[in-house]
Amino acid sequence: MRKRNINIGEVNTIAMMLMLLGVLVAACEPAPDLFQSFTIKKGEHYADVRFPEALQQNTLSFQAIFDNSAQYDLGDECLQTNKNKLFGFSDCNSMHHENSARFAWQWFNGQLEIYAYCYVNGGRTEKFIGTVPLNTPSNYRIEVSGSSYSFYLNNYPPVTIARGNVCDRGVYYMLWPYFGGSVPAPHDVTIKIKKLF
Amino acid sequence: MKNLIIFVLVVLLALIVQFANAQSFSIAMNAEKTVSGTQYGPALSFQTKSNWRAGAFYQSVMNVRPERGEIKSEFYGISAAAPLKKCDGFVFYATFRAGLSNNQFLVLVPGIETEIRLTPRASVAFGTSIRMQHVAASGKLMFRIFNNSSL
Repeated sequence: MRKRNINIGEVNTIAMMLMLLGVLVAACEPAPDLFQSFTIKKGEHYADVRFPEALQQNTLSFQAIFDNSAQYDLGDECLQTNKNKLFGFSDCNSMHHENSARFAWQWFNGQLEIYAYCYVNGGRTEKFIGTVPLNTPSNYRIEVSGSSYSFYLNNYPPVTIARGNVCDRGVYYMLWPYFGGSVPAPHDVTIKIKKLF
Repeated sequence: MKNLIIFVLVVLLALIVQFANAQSFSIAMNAEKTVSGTQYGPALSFQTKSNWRAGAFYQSVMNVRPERGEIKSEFYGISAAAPLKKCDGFVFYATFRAGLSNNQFLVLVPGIETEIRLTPRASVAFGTSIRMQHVAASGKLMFRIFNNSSL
């Protein structure tokens, strides 16, 4: 059987047809919903299992939507003020209980409160930033610089927390939603997150 | 200092050995569309007779963010490609890149690539990879500077 060689002209024609097909298909495609949904099941701390992911820019920017499942009553003010973790990252080659920066949240006084939540050289620091409405996207951003983390939430003034003694170059692994504190989710809690680039 | 000199000499020796065994040495212009923008930049690589490729690359993009103004995003590092299949001027590769994003963040990028030989010295390559947990598409124009036969 004779072997047939493909010439450059045929390659170009095939490439053009594929590109045209791509444009036609893309034109009909609805815009995707880029929000990822995280559900922390009743009695659990973690949401669904995810592939490991690392930060690749010195800014973590995202939108998040809490629905009515963010309202909970643990029946004890001390437990109620345990911070639930929203999203963030561990700092350069550190474990997250050594050096990390995250947004945290709690349902308290009938409102959803957002905090800057960091571990710096093993010590924990929390600072209140503001409140966010339910069922509405809010804008979050953490900027990491040489000496500090800056937290931005919607139009609230930024909150800054000093950074620990960490390296500059390495892995900054992402930290995903976690309920608690020590107490697991009293019911299913759903949070939607869309990373911005 | 002495250790550094020994390290550099070992790396140079390894490069010379690889270079001598390389079938070709090429330069390339890369364009990679990622979820955070399209990055452009040069790459250098050598290719063995069995089509294994190794090299280094640099690519960058200038992003404009309303809240932060213009931000330059860079990605540089080393690359390797293992041939999976070769037929009639096409070579399919599994690729792997490792490097630093913004001179700070370690990034590992697996991918696949198809190289199409246009002439003995020029080829184009199209690939897809995972960047920032999203699919990225890339195109590359490669020129062989010399082959072993021309050395």
